[in-house]
Amino acid sequence: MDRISALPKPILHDILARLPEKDAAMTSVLSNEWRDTWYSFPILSICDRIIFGSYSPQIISKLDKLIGYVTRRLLKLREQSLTIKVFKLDMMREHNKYMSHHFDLWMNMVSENRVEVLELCLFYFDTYRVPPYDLPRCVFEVKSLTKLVLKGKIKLNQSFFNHSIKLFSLRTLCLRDLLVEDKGIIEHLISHCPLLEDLTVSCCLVYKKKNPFENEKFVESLFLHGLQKLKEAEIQGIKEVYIDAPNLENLCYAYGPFYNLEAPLRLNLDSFTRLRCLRLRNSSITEKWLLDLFHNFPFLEHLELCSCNMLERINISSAQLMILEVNSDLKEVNIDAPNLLSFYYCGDDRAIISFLTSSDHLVFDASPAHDSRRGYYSLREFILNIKPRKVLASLSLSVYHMDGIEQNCLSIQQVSSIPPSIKCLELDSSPNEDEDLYFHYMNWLLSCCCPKTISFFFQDDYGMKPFTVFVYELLMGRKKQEWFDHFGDTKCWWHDLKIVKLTYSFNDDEKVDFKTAVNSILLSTNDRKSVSFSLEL
Amino acid sequence: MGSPVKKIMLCSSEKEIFSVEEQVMVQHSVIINNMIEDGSYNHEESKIPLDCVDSKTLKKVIDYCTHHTHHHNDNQEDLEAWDAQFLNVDSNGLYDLLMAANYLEIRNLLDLIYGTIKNMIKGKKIDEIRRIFNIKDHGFTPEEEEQNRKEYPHFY
Repeated sequence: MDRISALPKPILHDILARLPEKDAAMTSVLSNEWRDTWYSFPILSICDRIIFGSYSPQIISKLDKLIGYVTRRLLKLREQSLTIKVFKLDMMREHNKYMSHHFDLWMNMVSENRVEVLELCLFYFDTYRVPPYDLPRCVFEVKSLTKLVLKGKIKLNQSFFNHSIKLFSLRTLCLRDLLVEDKGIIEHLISHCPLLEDLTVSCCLVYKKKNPFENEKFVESLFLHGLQKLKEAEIQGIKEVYIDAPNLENLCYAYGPFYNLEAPLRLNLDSFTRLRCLRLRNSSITEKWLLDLFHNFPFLEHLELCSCNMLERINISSAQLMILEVNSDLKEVNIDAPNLLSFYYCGDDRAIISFLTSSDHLVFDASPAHDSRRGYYSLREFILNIKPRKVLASLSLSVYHMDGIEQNCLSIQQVSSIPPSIKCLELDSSPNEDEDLYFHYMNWLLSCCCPKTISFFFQDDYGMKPFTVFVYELLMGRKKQEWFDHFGDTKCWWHDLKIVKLTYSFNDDEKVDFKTAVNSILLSTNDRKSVSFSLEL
Repeated sequence: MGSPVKKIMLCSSEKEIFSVEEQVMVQHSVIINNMIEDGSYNHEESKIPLDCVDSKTLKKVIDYCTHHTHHHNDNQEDLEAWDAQFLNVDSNGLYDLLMAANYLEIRNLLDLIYGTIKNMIKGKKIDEIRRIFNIKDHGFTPEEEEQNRKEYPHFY
């Protein structure tokens, strides 16, 4: 036998655990030894999109195969009485009418085989046709379970109230978009998990037994007591929240997006005095509340404010704050945080951002939002409104245009002097395919700022490829007179730029020319590929 | 003058003795660290017998630990280039190194080898992996092989 196949099973399992699911599954047909290795591998991660591919015509017959495959693997593990470390099931595609019967069998088997991590994720494309899956009670009796994740069309029944819950080892619990027959079930469940360290409760619905078609209502309140060990919590879409967790360090709270955002916050936030990280989304916090923030949370290092629309200006003054993320339309941001390492701003491009103090190690990312209804884009003003000027050396500017780029909104100031120098300009949307617009757009960007690097990101915009190739040729042939003749342009500062280095975020064969390399990029939302030009004057 | 560098003795399966800086092995090997900490290693007379590690492999393991102790401040690129060169061995060599790293519990060396083997499998087709691993006899009956090819055509 070859040496690699002869490695001890636990070592081969460690290697399988590091492989993407598809590659790991493939080893089962490599050879006899690898098949045995596969059938004793205690991590089952089943995702129908990976198994079926993105489109598959005979999905029903494939579904039967999937059922057979999961059942076979679970049975093999049971035969060898092996513990199941992880059972993950992630389904979005078609559902056959016996599906919940098979799910029940699998839940029983993994419960008996002392599963440690159980994740069920059932979000169906055709969600109205598929009935919710009634989670069997056996899941809540698994003493070995350390992590339980339930997401999507899963229902917790009334009967959980009268049944013993034995999740004595559970450290992580995530309940997202579930259905509960009684709003108290979630509280009941959590009160039986004494070791809980990480909790997520997000957007769960109360299921109407009598009339399931009546509008479902969100679970509106959550009262949790005695969570001494709780370190992390994420709560979303619940109107009234009380959590007794004196050691909480990391909290993410999103009030909306479904309720009236003007309503006052009903969360015992001020009691979490040990917080290090606070993320608030869609919450009605006020400028006055923010003033006391760092006094109330002396350990706070990471603050994120997202869609907090009642805020117009924020003043941050903290010696321990390291990360600040603001994703709201603001008029003014004042920061006095000498140890801030990372600041992200995404919002109205009319915001005035000032730093009273700043660290030399600051990473500053900004994504100013344009409103084309206002006429001219004010990118240049946004940059000029950042004070002091030395902060611009750490600024990476991401420019995107959700509704396309309109040429009449690009006002190019013909200034002979070089615009403010910034660290990086990041582009992930392109103008419509039109060389004139490409040229004006680039000319406009470079009349607003002088970036050390320009990066082009390829995600879902097909226009990025021709645009990037155009910019490459423009920069490469920048000294050629014909450009100016063609566009009737006068000489600008960037015509003297040197491209110092081209970098690709993906493997590239150096022999291939730029155009071929860019055109061969596969667009993918999971894996943003980029090409960067380093520029020097 | 500082005190002389403390050394420990390791003994390979061929009974060859290797003298290594104690700090180098303590930093990388969980097993040796435990032996030094609980006092079961006597600097006057002990040798640590490594019956399942041959001299050639042991020498490589010591090289790895020594380099990573003295060069841990090097930039990432240099270290990665060194690691790549270090693991430029055939599958027998890889097997021996993995078993030794596993026995001595050298976490970062294990991760490195796991990564290498992972890359031998990731994104490849069955026939390619069989060639890389040198799997001559897959042990399936012709019917089973036929069935697999029919069932998972995208793997082949």
